[in-house]
Amino acid sequence: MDEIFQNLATGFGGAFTPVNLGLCLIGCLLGTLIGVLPGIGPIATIAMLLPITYGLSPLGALIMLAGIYYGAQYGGSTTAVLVNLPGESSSVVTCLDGYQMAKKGRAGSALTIAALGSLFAGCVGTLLLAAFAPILAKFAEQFRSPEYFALMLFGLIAAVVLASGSVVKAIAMVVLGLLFGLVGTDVSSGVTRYGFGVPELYDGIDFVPVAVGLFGLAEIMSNLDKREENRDLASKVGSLWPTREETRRAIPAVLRGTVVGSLLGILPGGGAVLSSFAAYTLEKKISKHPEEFGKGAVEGVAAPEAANNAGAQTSFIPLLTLGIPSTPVMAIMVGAMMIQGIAPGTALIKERPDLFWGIVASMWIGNVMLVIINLPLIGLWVKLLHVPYRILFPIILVLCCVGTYSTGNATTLVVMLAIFSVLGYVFVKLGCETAPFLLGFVLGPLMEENLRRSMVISFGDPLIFVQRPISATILAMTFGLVLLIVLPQFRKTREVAF
Amino acid sequence: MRFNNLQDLLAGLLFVAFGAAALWFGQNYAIGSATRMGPGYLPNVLGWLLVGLGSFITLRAFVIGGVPIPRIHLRPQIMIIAALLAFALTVERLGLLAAAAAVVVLGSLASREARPLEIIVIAALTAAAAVGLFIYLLGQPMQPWTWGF
Repeated sequence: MDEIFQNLATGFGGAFTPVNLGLCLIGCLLGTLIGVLPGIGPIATIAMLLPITYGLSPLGALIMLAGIYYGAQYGGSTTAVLVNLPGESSSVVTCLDGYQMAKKGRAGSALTIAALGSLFAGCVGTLLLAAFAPILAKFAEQFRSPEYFALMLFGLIAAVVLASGSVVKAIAMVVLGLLFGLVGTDVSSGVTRYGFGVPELYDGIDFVPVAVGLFGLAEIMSNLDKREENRDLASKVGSLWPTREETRRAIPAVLRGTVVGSLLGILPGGGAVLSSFAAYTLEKKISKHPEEFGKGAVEGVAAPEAANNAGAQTSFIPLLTLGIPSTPVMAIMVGAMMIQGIAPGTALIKERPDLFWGIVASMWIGNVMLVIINLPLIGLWVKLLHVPYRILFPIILVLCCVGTYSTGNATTLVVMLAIFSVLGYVFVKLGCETAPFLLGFVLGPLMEENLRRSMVISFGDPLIFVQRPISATILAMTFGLVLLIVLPQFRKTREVAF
Repeated sequence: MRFNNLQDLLAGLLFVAFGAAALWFGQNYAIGSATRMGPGYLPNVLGWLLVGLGSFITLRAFVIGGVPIPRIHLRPQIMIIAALLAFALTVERLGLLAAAAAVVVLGSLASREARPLEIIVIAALTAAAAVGLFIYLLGQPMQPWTWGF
């Protein structure tokens, strides 16, 4: 325990410089801004703002990107409560009861409960990260290629189980993503695969146009297909203070949401979205008044908001300890770390303690900043919601173009962006989830390398994966997940959840 | 039962097409053995897997019902792609000011609610802000204004 506090002191030392505090604030502000605006999520935002971080120190860059990510969680709840539109996918469930509270004139109270619940959950999630990441990283030092391969397989299967919609289509999307990930020069043999004579493809497909195209522009395109809805803006925020009764009901819900979110956030493919759904379902199930849900139940705001923030923090654990991104947002973090010359993996905590503990410390600072940004400044964000979409989206479009172009200063990147926007739009229309695709795309090359290495060690015997205890355990868990998909009982719950 | 699952049918065919393309264009990559995997090993496995999954989804579409494909409008798609291509064409030849303005003008036309005067104002403001942010503040290697045709 002492060691943790000592390490945290180092971390706060690194994060408390004026520059890093400033970057944390900018990240949180940008994140809130994006979170409040419906139509563009954290994935596309982080991807297109990556170039802004090139000139920063590695710690500064990661602090800012992390700030954008959890800032978006806070901002999303504002839109959910006030406009009944999810600013982010992780605040979809907050709409259900948050907007009903707003209709009853309790918008301010709902926002306060969401913000303070998120603050509490964020602190717990960060504490878990600080306590368990070093232990997990130490344990993971014994991992070799077979374990890594098994772990990535587990992650991909988990992403499939947790995707909404058809399981088979999600698996096909993972496979398609893996194939796209293989484009470029094969490291082992030097052969260029699927290069089609385009030199830009020899190093593989760049991550940024894929992420911005699939998650940013495809989203804008399908938004434009719908008529601009008349936003039913809850005009009055009302008092920010919850009543005694509301507080009494919110506190246990926040605690439960924090537990659910922290656990699900660690799971590969879990993260913030699933956490909030699961927390809402749990609250409804154990509540003495399930009929109040959907009509403005305080628990229905408190629990999912706590859960999505806890999940957002703990989803950093697999990334910072194993170097494996478990959600698309974490995949972008890997990209950001690579650009800064940091290899995410088991050695990170040992070799760059300043970096790891600096990120942890900045999460606390960021969470406190966010409460300050969100509650007293709520009027500002409400004004922003009045800006019509037809003015917002061209500006976002420019950001996407410049952001993508400057990752490599090549116009081919923008052409790729166009191609992946169209592809993403087709996927949306055909009901195919893009998150499994992106995870497959990022993990493809890593999986191939580890599979090959395992096979070299075992002389081509696939039994190596079950003979090694750790990899066998992970594979057994993977198999368990597959069974879950097949079991009819679970299928039903899954359909209800999504 | 009437066939109503065009969404899955097309999705399945799309997967089959991608899988087949992976196999066709990857046919010359050495497959190798399980011990020494060649560059073609995984593409081959994944290609067949995708063809298999795609066929399954396609055939299943005739058995289970589906949801209708959401309405598709061509105007947003065409205008946004045009905006992206205009940016790619102009950013190095005319500079960021012109490229950003072109994106706003073409992009705005994607919406049916576009208003001419509004577009011009936003285009000018966004272009100026982009130059200030990316070139002067962040020092990205781009030209605000140039002539390179």
